[in-house]
Amino acid sequence: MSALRWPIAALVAALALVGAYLALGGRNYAPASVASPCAPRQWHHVSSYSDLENEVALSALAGAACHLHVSQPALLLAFTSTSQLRRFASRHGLSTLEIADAVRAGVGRAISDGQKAGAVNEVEGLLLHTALAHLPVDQLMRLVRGVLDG
Amino acid sequence: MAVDLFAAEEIDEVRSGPLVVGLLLAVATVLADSSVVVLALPDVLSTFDVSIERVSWVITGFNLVLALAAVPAAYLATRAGANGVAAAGLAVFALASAACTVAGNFDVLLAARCVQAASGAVVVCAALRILARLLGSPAQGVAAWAGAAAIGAAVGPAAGGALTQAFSWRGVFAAQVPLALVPLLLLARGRVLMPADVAVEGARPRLAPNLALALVSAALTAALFLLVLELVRGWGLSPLAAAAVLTVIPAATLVTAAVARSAPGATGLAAAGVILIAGGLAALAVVPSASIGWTFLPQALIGAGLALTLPGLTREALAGVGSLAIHGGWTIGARHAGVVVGLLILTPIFTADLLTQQAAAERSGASLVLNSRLSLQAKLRLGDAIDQSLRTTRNRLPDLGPAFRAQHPSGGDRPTYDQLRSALTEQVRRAATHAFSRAFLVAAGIALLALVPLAVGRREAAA
Repeated sequence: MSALRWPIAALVAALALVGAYLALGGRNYAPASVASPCAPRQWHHVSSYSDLENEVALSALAGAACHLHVSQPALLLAFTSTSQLRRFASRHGLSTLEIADAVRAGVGRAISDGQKAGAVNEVEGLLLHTALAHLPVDQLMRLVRGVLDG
Repeated sequence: MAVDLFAAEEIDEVRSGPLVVGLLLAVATVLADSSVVVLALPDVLSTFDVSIERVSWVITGFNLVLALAAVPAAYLATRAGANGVAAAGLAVFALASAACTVAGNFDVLLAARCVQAASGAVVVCAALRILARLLGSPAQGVAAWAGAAAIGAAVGPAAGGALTQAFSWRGVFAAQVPLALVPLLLLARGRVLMPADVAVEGARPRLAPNLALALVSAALTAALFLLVLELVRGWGLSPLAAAAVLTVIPAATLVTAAVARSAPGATGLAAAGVILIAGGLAALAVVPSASIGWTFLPQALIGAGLALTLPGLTREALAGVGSLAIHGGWTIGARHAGVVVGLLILTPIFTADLLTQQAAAERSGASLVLNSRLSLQAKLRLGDAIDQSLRTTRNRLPDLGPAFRAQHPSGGDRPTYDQLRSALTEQVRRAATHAFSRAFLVAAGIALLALVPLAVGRREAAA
């Protein structure tokens, strides 16, 4: 038993230290995980036009990213210029129509999120959804560029 | 006038003291060399435009050659005479260190490191024979030699960091030249009368302690290598500051060695040391935040484990029948083969995890920017500036300061920008810390494997 005295003391010391570090959150000390773009998104309090623009854009981005199975930052970067968008489409093998469909899905998601947050009422929501369904592709893309360019 | 080393007069008792110190310093220098450049690697990386994997060969190459050359060097030291072999080894080691100091390209540095390793193997094995003679008994020679080896391994990274900060990576090698020349000059003034050579045929390596040494060395060097990279590359410490942080390991080694000197049961102590090293490494894998304070206790466990494990295992490995120097060769070979295996296993793990965590940090950082209270246009401008900053800081921690300053935040937006910058910096630090977790855990596992040969050795001894 005396031969095991030192190894047991060492084991206790090692386990105590590792246990203490784990209890202090050591296992979770990693970059924060990013929510899936398909997960429901709650709007922050909207008190100005700028806030509304921000929330609409973020919901639309999440909806479009979810539709295309890409990350939100990658998609946002794609919309910063025509050349970036072309590069993005080529990398993911997407046609203009597919990107427009994603944008349409994204804006639809933004309208729904706005309804859930109480920023858009039932009637406004219905009208916006109907208009969105009939908006031509080129105007849809222009809308996106307009929002990004401020 | 040529100096004939072998015809010089025999060293007397008065002059043996400085030679003992000189040889112990040379042994510590050679064995510290396996980890001494760890803190200099980022500096080497900046001088020569090479990849992290390639620059790690400054360490891996040295250890590989040392492992391969150790046993042949031991035979040479036994058969050709320890005095002359030690002198030749020290001369070549000094020349190779000087060549490392002035290396103009990476290939020259790598080649000089290999020559350093081969000559270092000769020095270490010949020194063991000479020390056993000068100190009056093989047991005392082995104790001093093993102690110098343990101190060299523990002090190496801190010394390398201090020299890199004070001068550059070249300073690490320049400092080794006088450490080889001093014992060379002392040997040139007189030779040590060696006993008749013992038969080398019976000197079969002792498998269990050598295998345990290999595994412990793999874990220890990996620990030092990973911790240094984490402190300097991950947490942004200067080499000198990292060296200061790393002094906890040698301090714990010295204190524990003094306390444990009279404790009975070498195998039990070695097993305790292995468990402490594994525990320290596992704790480094789960530090609660990127703060140097959290590394102190794990380092203390590793340093204590080093003191309990290495000297005892080395004594057991050298206790076989036959030539002491040849057992020393096997021991050095096993230790450094372990280091090479450890580096080869762990380097790809942490380099892959660095990439994964970099991507994770970018994702979480982008999400933080997107979900901040800034306007959409401000988010895009900031995101673009951060993206540029990430592209220009390859192999280093990104400096987010310029990207934020370029936004010229107004009074109202300033708190949002400050909060965002602090949150992004935290994500980078989390990623840089988490990138080392898996490698530290694997290193802990390698250390624990050493318990197997320890148990086998104990059973054989009992039988």
